[in-house]
Amino acid sequence: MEQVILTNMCMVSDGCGNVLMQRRLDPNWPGLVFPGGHVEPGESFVDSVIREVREETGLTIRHPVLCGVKQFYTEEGSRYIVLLFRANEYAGELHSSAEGEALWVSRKSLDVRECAPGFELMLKVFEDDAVSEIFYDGEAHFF
Amino acid sequence: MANVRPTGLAVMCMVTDGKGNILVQDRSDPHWPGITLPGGHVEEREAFVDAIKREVWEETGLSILNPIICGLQQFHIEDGSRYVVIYFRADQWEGELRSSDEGRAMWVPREGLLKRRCVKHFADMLEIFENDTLCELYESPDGNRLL
Repeated sequence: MEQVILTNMCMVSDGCGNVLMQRRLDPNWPGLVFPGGHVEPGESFVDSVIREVREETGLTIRHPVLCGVKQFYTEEGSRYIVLLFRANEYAGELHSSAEGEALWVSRKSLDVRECAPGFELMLKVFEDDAVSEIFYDGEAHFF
Repeated sequence: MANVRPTGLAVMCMVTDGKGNILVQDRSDPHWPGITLPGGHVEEREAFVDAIKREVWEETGLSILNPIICGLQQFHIEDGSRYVVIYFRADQWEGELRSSDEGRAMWVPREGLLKRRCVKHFADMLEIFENDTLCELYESPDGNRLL
């Protein structure tokens, strides 16, 4: 047993080269990211990512698939896990949330300088089928 | 922090040889016997990929190359704590097959595998490993959900 924080994040693609993003307002980690959030106690991971994407963007995704993991240790010594999913089926009307504006962004034109710190490294795990994990222990390690 | 909870972390891997065979462990533990895939606990501060390479090597003698995440399983124990098993697939390895204290390591044909004495929920676990559209096995006393 370890002290663990479980979260999720999902790369939703529209099949036309655009990805669903959130422009985060949180001063602790501001900038463009994919939508996501915490997993609730007892909740299935797939249910949690569907819920978080819907809460933050208004879109209900279907059949999200796990494509990787990001991990690091907090100052308090807890293992912070981000389960990374991909989805390309969705329905609903786009809307934003208190956490930030929800928007479709052209993947080709995405300026990584507008992204939250470290997000560019996460993109590799989302997009490269041969990479499953990014693990920080002072520096980032890809597996 | 409200979101920090004690959680069990483990890994498991389906290693295939490209000829219809799967690497399995026939467990000798009387409390949880039967055929299963190699795997085990993640150590503190260990990456999941490092953990699965270590566990497969410890239990079978094979060093897998480039394991890829393909799903996960969760269940809750009596005190309500969550236990998570991260699933990997691998089809390249090095080394010589050998067994361990935990059980006999062997290659078995995928066909007919479920007719053998396998651990509980093994059929549902295989479904997550093999079906690309499913990535989670949610175990609960009311029945398993495959998502």
